[in-house]
Order: sequence, then structure tokens, then C-alpha cells
Amino acid sequence: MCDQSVFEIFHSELVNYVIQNNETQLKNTSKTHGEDLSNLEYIGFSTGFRIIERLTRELPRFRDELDTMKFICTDFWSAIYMKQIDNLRTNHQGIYVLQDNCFRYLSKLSNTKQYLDLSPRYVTFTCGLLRGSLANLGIRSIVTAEVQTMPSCKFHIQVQRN
Amino acid sequence: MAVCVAIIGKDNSPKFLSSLNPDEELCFQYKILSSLDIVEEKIHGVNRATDNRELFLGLLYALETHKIYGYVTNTKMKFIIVVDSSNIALRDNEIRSMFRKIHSEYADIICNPFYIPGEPITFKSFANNIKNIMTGTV
Amino acid sequence: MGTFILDTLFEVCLQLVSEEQLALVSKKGPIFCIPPIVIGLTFGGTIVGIDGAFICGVIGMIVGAGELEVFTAIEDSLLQFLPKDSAEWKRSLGRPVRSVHIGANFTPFSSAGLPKGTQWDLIRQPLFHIYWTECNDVDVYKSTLKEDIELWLKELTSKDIQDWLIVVVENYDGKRSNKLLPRTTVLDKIRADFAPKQGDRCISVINPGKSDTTDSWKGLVNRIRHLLLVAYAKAVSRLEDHVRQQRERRNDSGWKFMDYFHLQEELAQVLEMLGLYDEALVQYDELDALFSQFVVNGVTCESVAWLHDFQAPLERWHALKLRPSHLPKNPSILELRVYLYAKQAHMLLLIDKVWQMASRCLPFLHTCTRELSILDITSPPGALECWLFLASMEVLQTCDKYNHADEVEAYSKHTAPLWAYASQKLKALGELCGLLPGSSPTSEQLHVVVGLSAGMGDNPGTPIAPSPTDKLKEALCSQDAFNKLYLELAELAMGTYKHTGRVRSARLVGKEVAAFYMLLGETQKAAAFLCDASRLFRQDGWHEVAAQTERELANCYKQAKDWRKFIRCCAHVSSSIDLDTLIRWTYFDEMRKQIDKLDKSLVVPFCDIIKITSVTVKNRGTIMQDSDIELECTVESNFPREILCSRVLVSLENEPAKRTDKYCKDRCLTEKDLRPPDGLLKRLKIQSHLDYKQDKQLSSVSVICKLGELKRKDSSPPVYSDFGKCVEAVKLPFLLTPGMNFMRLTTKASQTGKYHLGQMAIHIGQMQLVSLPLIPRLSIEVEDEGPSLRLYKNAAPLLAGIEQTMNVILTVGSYPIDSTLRIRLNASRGLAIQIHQDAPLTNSCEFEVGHQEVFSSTSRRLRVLADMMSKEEHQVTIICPWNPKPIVVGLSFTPPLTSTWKLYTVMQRKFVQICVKGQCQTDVIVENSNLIVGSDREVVSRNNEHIGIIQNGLTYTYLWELTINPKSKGSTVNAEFNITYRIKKFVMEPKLYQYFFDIVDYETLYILDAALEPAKGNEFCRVGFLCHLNLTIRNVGDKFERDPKTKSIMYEVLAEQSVWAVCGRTAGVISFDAALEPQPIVLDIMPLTSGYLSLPRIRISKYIPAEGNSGKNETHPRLEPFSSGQVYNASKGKQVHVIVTTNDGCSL
Repeated sequence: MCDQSVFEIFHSELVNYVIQNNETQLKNTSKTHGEDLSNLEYIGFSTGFRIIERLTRELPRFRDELDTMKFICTDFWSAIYMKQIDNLRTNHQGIYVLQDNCFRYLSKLSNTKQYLDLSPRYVTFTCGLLRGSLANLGIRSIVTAEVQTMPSCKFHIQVQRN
Repeated sequence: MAVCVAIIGKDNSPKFLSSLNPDEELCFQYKILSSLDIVEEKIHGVNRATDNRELFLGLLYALETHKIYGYVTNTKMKFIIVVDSSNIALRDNEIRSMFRKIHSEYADIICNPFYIPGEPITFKSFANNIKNIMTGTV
Repeated sequence: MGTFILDTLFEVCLQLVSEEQLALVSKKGPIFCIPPIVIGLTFGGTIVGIDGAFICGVIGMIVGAGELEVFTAIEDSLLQFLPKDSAEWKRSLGRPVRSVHIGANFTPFSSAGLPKGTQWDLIRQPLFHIYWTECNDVDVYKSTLKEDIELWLKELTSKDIQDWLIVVVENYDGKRSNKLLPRTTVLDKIRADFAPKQGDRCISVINPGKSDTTDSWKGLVNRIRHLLLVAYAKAVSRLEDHVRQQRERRNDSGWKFMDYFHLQEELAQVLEMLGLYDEALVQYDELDALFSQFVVNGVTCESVAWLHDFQAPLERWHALKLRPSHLPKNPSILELRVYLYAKQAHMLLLIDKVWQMASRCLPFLHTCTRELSILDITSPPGALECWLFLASMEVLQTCDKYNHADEVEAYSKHTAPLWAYASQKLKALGELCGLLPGSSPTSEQLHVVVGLSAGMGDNPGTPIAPSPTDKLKEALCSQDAFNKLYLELAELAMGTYKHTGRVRSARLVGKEVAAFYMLLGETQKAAAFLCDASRLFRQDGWHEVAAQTERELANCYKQAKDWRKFIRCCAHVSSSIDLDTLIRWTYFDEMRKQIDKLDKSLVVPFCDIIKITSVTVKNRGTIMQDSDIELECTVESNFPREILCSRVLVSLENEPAKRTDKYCKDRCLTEKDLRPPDGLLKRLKIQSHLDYKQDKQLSSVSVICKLGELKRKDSSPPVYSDFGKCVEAVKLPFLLTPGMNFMRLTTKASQTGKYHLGQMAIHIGQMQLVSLPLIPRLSIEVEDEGPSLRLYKNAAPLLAGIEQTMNVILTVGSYPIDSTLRIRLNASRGLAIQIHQDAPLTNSCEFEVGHQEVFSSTSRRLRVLADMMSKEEHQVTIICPWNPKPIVVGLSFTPPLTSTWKLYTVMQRKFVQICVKGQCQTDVIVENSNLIVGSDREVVSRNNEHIGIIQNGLTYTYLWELTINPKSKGSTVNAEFNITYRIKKFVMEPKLYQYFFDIVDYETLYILDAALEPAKGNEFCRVGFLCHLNLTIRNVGDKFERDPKTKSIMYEVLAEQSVWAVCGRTAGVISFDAALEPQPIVLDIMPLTSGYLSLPRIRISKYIPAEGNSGKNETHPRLEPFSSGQVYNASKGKQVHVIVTTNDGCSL
């Protein structure tokens, strides 16, 4: 368990670093448009893209998209966050909603409304992680997140089909 | 003991190719290229659902002097091994284990930050490891 | 099947009649029972063969004993009915139950023909024994029958035969001779005597001859069938055991493969006869595998003796025939293999698996080739290829017969490689025999052909459907036939590959066909195939393979003398990094040679030949017309050597109205910008988003993605922009070296407008290498600047009344203007201007532009003089011929001096004070001040005459006393103040400054006087104690005022609230009659503080009483103030001493 907390701390520092980097580069961050988290998301994307090869090495071939999503909710989430996704919903037309009722990086922040406005920073990396992993598995998608009550978090995956 | 190993990307372009005998490499390229058709059939074919879900695809096709085996990862990377037909001692399981080792090597290389996914693999250590797997000295 | 088969088989049968084979001739006609083929002639005379209806199947041999006459009566029916239904065969070793049809042949009993029960080859022996009897008399039974049966059974049991049946036939005539049924029937007796434990070995049948539909008859048939099958099953399993035993002994010395082969084949045949084709196939597969194992082991371990028999040199290479055939004695390895494969194919076709037959063919051919080489079997050159070719053609022809859509789908995947293989083998033969196009066979080669044809044997087909042997023989003899056959096979291969979706394999075959077409000289067709192939390879990213293909394509074009396409190909080949350097040099040199010979220009897209790494626009901001546009580019050249380029240019395109492409924000395109965006590794724009509820509280937060514009892949062919407007390299010819090249391009910006960079082109002789459009776009704006005219004044403000100079600056922009143009300046009223130095000042003037260089400006002095008396704001209107609208310049002039006047009164004396203030930034020197009033007045100067210097902001005051002339009372005084002044800075004549003003109502009308008295008994005024304010108002202007209305005045005491408190009235009205002197007014007032206090202010105003009766015209009383000169307050400035109230008994 010790090495898990190392990564949590590292993740917080990563968030800090990226936010600070943003502020030094762009002097005016408009409050109305929200923070630019593209860099953080891309770090997650790159990580997910690469790590998924290792994580799926021993597994049999995925039958279809739903099979892949089930893998994400179970094995993938367990490997990274030590637990499974609590709820998966889909409309069977490319939209998936993954709900984690106690998201690891938010659970240490608060479980009230405090710091709610800062929580997007802590879920962006995971959005990228999901997008990168799915991309390497052949599923192009856009992953966004929504936090209403900490530490529960919902990830929206929108599969892009052309 | 394999004669040639190829790693092909999602877009069917070669990312890595290594043969024990460099003179034969061009010839192998042609053969591996045509075997891609069969790989596609196997993973996208009509009777896909009933096929086993193993990553190892088995013998793709046989030539007079060589046999070609295929393996497709979940990330749609294709590994091809070309084996000399006269090497009868080589069993299916040995081929499977070779593929697993190659997969393991590939999983490591993709975690290397200097490797940009989608580009050809040019790492010397990787090439060495694959050569070792091919000759069975691992 | 036609009659010829029967004939053939008849022939074969006659040949094979031997001890080992069985030939049975039954009474009804020739029935040939020759394993594996069973042909039975039914009563109708039709031939029923191996693939006929249910009637076929196994035919077991049943031996009949006992009263055979009984049997013969029903023999025919029995024979007919036995195979009609199937029986269920329960298998051993957990194999599934199968249903088989079983037929029979009958033979009379003979002791000699009895085999041993334990023999393994029961299959061929009589299987089943039936004892027939018609006896129905117990006594007869007891006497004769019983013994007979006993003897019979004894014989059977002595040979360990357990499969027998006793049938009691009862024929009733319908009348019973004996009405009583015997207590025990013969059947019961028999059963009791001989088969106490196996009751079903005895059966009775009633009236068998009469009808075939009774239950009894059916029972008999079923029983026979069942028991026959049991016997058969036993025989089969015994055979299986035997086979297994023999196989286990395979490594013993003396074991011969061929013997074992025949044995296992027999089992296969039996299974085949039973209709169990898949199991028969298994047997053949086992034989196949066993043989392969032996061959393989023969290399590694000690080879077995019998294997040497197969190592004889190959003498015959007859075609594989997928028809029923026989195995010759001492077969060669090929013959054995062929036979085995034929059998396997046969089984597969029987179970409708055509595709499996096709799929096994190629591995089979490979195995044969391999085994021949392992066993070092020598064969004449080309023999093996012939055989391989014939075999594959045979299989393909057989497949063709099956043309159900789903069958075709299934086997096409396997026949495609077979077609390709056949074509390859044919080509190899062609090379060997000198049949390829372009070569003619030598006598040696003809010899070889003869030898090959002989070894193939004969396998004639029909003229409509020639056999593979015929085709090959024909192809070997004639080059035309060879070409035709080869192309036909290759086309079939390609077609089948494409049909099954294996495009890459098709293209590879196409490549080989292209090589063949090249030999034939049909370069167009060859080029088409090679183009397709190389395009596919490039698309898939297999660059080395594509480069090799392009090499061949280049050779093809060279042969076709299509130099334009050749050059294009060579350009690709020479810039391909996957090829050997020497090869690249060769093609590069060839390309250069051909470029020199080009007459028309040839456009070649950049592709991988040249890569643009960066493009920078060196100009900052907008570019002035007629100045230079500068570009710096770096390109990477993949040519293997240096080459001189005659031109290097980048086109300039007009910016379209709709900007659909992405535009570059900077002035520089880098490699990152120019690289096509990788869809997979795309960066997204991600932002956080906060949702607020209505009460400003945060309800939820989210991470959202801002989608950029959808970029579809542009698949339209590149359009070559017009290079008419372009930026070119200066230092030409430009040497393009392999690797990075840096180039500078410039052009004169002659036309204004907005442009963007289009494409880059590099010309090498007539070859023009053109890039794709440079996206994101770099935009360039070329502007021109027109002439402008400006009016400038000096820093100091403009002064009215003095001539000043201003600057008119004419700036010519990027283009010259006509020197004869005239510019006009109009001044507003009160302003005079002049541009020329000597001419007088007028309202308007004009001047000629004169010759002026571009980007230069000239300045002219404009003299202006504003009238001092006029307003301060003036305008100068400039009319330029190039400007439709006149330019209006506003000018404001300030007079050098300003003045104010004030009237002072002492009693009835009047003083006029003039304050003169300087407005210039420089000093104004003034002298000779005068105040002029009308002729009926007089002023007395109270000034010192001197020259004063008024500095900026400084005020000088002059004072005159105005003498009052009683005659001219009540009128207005028109006064004029004038003074001469000079601006210190300017050299000028002293100018007269005049200031006009009017003095009205200056005469004193009333004099106020106020005095403060302390209350009675007090000496001083004290704080907080009432004092009296005595106010006197004297009317002195009565002489001048005749207006009765203004006789009433109102006085008001306006005391400072904190200083004085007025008790009682603060105001009142008094009126002046002619005679009465007004009474002094006493007001009570209380000081609030101590000290020297000023008297409270008193104001008097004219009181106009209310007029009019009650009605419409009623007005309210109103007040009118007096002019400042009309009231003199004598007590202004007076102060009164108020002392502090002391309390009684004070102490400090």
C-alpha cells in the first residue's frame, strides 16, 4: 500500500506543477472560462496510452466495445485505484458513464462542498488516462468528468464513431 | 527458433522487422505483408464470435519452406513470427511462449518515454532482446 | 456415373480377383463385392454405387443352414428388406451412436468355410449364421431337428462363433389342422434347449412368403438386422484392436508399413461402407500422420528398412486423380501420398466438406516436397514441379464442380493460394524449359520437355474439358499456350484473392504478373499492376517494399520509353531511404539524363522527395507596396546527390473571401505545424467548468472538452496554384544538397492586397517538384500609403491679432503624386492666411505640390493672422485633389490680453477699474492706457503713466474716476479701454488693444448706514445680550429716479447664523415718499460670540407690490435686486466690539 500513497502525492504535485506552469505562461486566466487543463489531460492521455499494453497483456481478446468498458470498470480501475467502478451506465450508442463513489484522489480532499471548485484539477488526469487507454484499444473517445458531491465522481465517455 | 519477427501497428504499417538472415528480409516482407490479410480475416471475420478469444492466432499460412504464425494484442498490434518448415521440433506451445515474450518486450518499450507510439522502433536493446527471443537464447 | 465406370470397374474387378479379395457372385446377377467399392445390381437393373441412396452400406455375409428350401422362398424379400432401414450402432470407447444401413448376402453353410471366431479378419468372413426350419411339430423336432441343430451349434461353438439365429417358419393356410394350440411350440422347445439365456436368438415368423407387412415379418427382419449388426460390430472392434496392436508394433524389425497400411485401410473401408465417412477419414489421417512421422524420424533417428523402398528415384509423376483409384504394387512415395490424399478427399467430398479438401491440398503438396527432399529422392529436373502443378490443378478442377454459393465462399479462401501456387510452378517449368517470353527453347530444353511429358503419363480429358495433364503438355509444347495458361492461372488467383478480401495477396500476385508482362513486352499492363501494388504498399506504410516495386515500375516505364513517368518513378526511387545507396545513385543519374531531354514541363508532387521543415516570413507587420517580401525556408532533400535547381519559388495566392483553412498566428511555420496531425495522439482542449445555482452556491463542477472545428481529411487531388505571383529565390541556380537546405526568397510587392502563401515549387530543368499547399496559412498584407497633408502649429498657442506662422507638411507615401496638383487652403471669417512668403494675407490660398520623392515630406510655412475682434475659434479647410473630402482643421486663437472692468462706489463718487491680464506665454509690453467714455462724461485717470510688462497670467489694473454729470443721469456709459501693446518676442509695430464695455445703472440711489448699539444701560455689546441695530436708508437718487413704482424697497438682514441672532424681524419694506424722510429702522440683534465682529449684511431690493385685483391678472409681490453701483453701504467694513458676558461673581 505504501507505493500507492507515493503516487497520490506525486499526482497532487503534478497538478500543482501544471497549474503553476499555466499561470506563468498565460498572465490572464479568465475566471469565467474556467481553468485550462489541457496539459494535465494530455499527461494522463500519454500515460494511459502506454500503460494499457501492460495491463491487457495477459487478458483474452475483447469481444466488443462493451467488453472493453467492463474491463475498464473492473480490472483497470482495480489495478490503478484499488477498487472497481461502482456503477456503469450506457445508452448502447457510444455514451458510457462510469461512477466512482469514492474516487481516490478526491477522497483525501474533502467529503463536503469544500474544495469542490478545485476538484476538476484532480480528476483531469484520470480523464486523460481513460482517453489514452481507450485510444490504444482502438476506441476514440472524449472523456469528461463531473463532480457534484465529493468524493464521488462521474466520468463521461463519449465514443467517437465516424 | 524463429527466422523472422515482425511487429505491425494498428494501421498495418511495419514498426519493427528483424531477420536472422538479412538477405532474406525483403522476401519475408512480401510474405508477411500477404499474411496481414489473413490476420484481418481472423480478427474481423464473420465467425468472429465463435472463435476463441486467445491472442495467439495460430498458423496463418504455410509456404514451401516457412510457416507464418500470428498474434494480435488487444491494442491491435500484430506480431508475426516466421519459422523454418524443416524445424519440426518447434511446437505450438513454444511459438506461443515466443509471442508472449515479444509481447512483454513490446509492453516495456511502449512505456519508454523516448518511444513515440506509432513510429518505428529503433531501440538497440529492443532489437537485441528480440534477436535473443528468435534464437531461443532467452 | 456413366457406363464407363462400370466397365472400368469390371476391368478392375477382374484384375483384382484374388485370394485376398472376395468376389461373390450371387444368384441374381453379378454382384461385385470388392472393398471398398460395392456395387449392387438391384432387381431393376440400375447401378447403385458408392454415393447412392440408403440402399448401400455394408453387406455382411450370412450363412444359412438348416432347411434351406424354407429360406430360398424368402431370400429375395429378405435381401431387399434388410438394408431398407437403419439400425443403431452403439459404439465402444464412448463414441457416439451412429445409425447404419446393413445389407446381407447369403451363402449356404459349409464347415470348411467357417473361420475361427477369434480371427481378426472376420469382416471378410461369414459373420452370421441362421438356421432355418419349418418344423412345427414338437415330435418331429424331438426326433430329427434337435440333433441337427445340436450338431450345427456344436460346429459353431467349436469355432467360437457366437452369432447365430434360429428361425422357425410357420406357414399357415388359413385353416388350422389342429384346432388346439400345442402347449409348447417348437420355438419354445428350441429356446429351452439351445438358448436358455439368450432368448432373442430364436424367433419364429408366420407366413413370410405371403405378405411382407405383417408384424411377424417385420420382427424377423429387425431381429436379423440387429443381430447382424451386433456380429458386425464385434468384427469391427476386433479389427480395430488388431490394427491398434499392429500399430504398436511398428518399431519392431520386420514391420512393414505397406502391410499395416492395407490393414488400416480395410478398417477405413469398413467404416466407409457403414457410411461413417468421417471416421474413415480419421483412419486415413492417422495413416498420413504415421507415414510423416516415419519420414521425419528417418532423418533424425535410424531409418527403418522399409523406408528405403520409398527412396527410389522418381520415375513417374502422374497426375493426382481424385477418382476412385487403386494403389499400385510397390508404390513410390508420390503414388502412396497421392492415393492417400485421394482417399481423404473422397471422404471429405462425401461429407460435403469441399473446402477442407481445398485447404488440405497446399499443406499436402508442401509435405510431399519436403519429404522428397528429406529422403533425398532424386528426380529429373522439372518432374516435381510438373507433379505439383498437376495435383493442384486437379484439386482446383474438382472444386469448380461444386458451385453452390456458400460452398464457393468456403473454399475460395483455399483455392486462391492454390491458383497462385499453380501459376508459380508453371512459371518455374517455363524457366526450366525456355518457354518464358523472350526466350526460345534449346534442344536440351526440348529434350527435357519430352522427358517430362513422358513421365506425366496420360490422363486424357475431353476436348471441352481438358484434363490438367493435357493442359500442361500443351503448355510445355507451345509458348502461346504456356503464356495463356500462366496468365489465366494468375488472373484466377488475383480474382479469387480479391473476392475473398485478401487484397494484399492479390497485389503481390499482380506484381509477379507484371514481371511476366514485362517479358511479354506489354508494359502498360505491367505498369498498371505495379502501380496498384506500390500504391497499396505505400498506403500500408511498407516503404521498403513499395520502393522495390517502384524500382520495377521505373524499369517498366524505361522499357516502354515513357520517359515522363519514368522520371517521376526515378525521383521516388532515388529519394527512398530504404534502398541501397548505389541503386539510388543509378536511378538518380538516369533521372537527370532524362530530365535534360524533357521538352515539356513535368509536375511531380513533393511526396517524400522533399520535405519542408520551416517557412518564415521575415517582414514584420504589413508590407509597403514596392518594398520586398522576404521569405526564409528550410527544406530537406532526400535525393542521394546534389542537384542544381533552376528556380525555387513559393506562390502567392489572393486571400479568399472565406477563410476555411487554418491560419498561422506567427510569422513562421515550423515542422510541427507542417506535420499532418496525428488523429490518434491528438491533444484536446480541456477546461474546468463551474456550475452555480441561483443562490450563487456551487452545485457541481465538471471537466469539459472544447471541441475544435471538425477537420475532415482532404481527399481532393492537389490543385497546382498559379505560380504567376510568387516569391523566388535570388541566388540561382540553387544547389539542392542531400539533407537540409536553407534558402532565401524575395519578391517585390507590386500589388496591394491580402495574400497568403500557396505552394512551394522547385524546378529542376523541366521537372517541377511541387509541394502541397502550406497549411496553416501564412498571410501577407501589402499596403500602399497615400499622400497626406498636415497643418502644424508651434508649441506656443496661437495669438490673435498678430501674424503667426504654421507649418503645412505634405507627406508623400508609397507612390509618387503628380507634381502639378494644387492644394487649396480656405480660411474662415476673421482669419487671413497666406502660404507664399511675400504675398498679402487673404482668405484663401493655394500652392502646387511640386516634385516630391516617395516617402518624403516637405514643409511650408503658412502665415496666419486672426482678427482680434472676431471669435476665438477659426478653421482652415484644406482641399487636396486626392481626397474627396476636404480636411477641416480647427484653430483656436487666444488674444494676447484680456480685460475685465469693475465699478467702485464711494458715496456718490464712481470709480472704474480695468484689470488687464496677460495671455501670452511671452511678455507683453503695454503703454498708453486710455479710458474713453462718451462726450458728455469725463474720466479722470488715477494711473501712473508708464510702460508696463505684463507677463503670462499677470494682471495690471488701471483706475479712472467717472465724474457724474447731472445732465446725463440715468443713461448708459459706453466705455472703451485701449492700450498699445507689443509682444516682446516678435518684432512688430505696437498694436492697439481695445476693450469695450458698458456701464449701466451706476448712479447711487440709496445709502445704507447701520450702527449697533448696546441695550439700554450697557456700555458695550455683550455676548448673548440684545443689542439694537439702527439701520438708516437714505434715498439720494431721488433726483434721478422718477419712477413711482420703485419707491418701495425691502431690506433684509442677512446675518451669519453663528455670529448673530436676529430677534424679531429680519426684513421689512419701506417706501419713500417725496417729502418724508424715512425713519430709522431698529432691529433687535444678539451677538453670539465675542470679539470684533463685522456688522451683519444688509441687503435692499426693489419691492414691487402685488398688482391687480383678485382675478386673472393678479401678480405676487416680487423683489428686484439693485445693480451694484446703485446702493452704497456706508457701514461696510465696520466692526463692533462685543465683549464676553461676565457672570456675577466671576473668577478665572
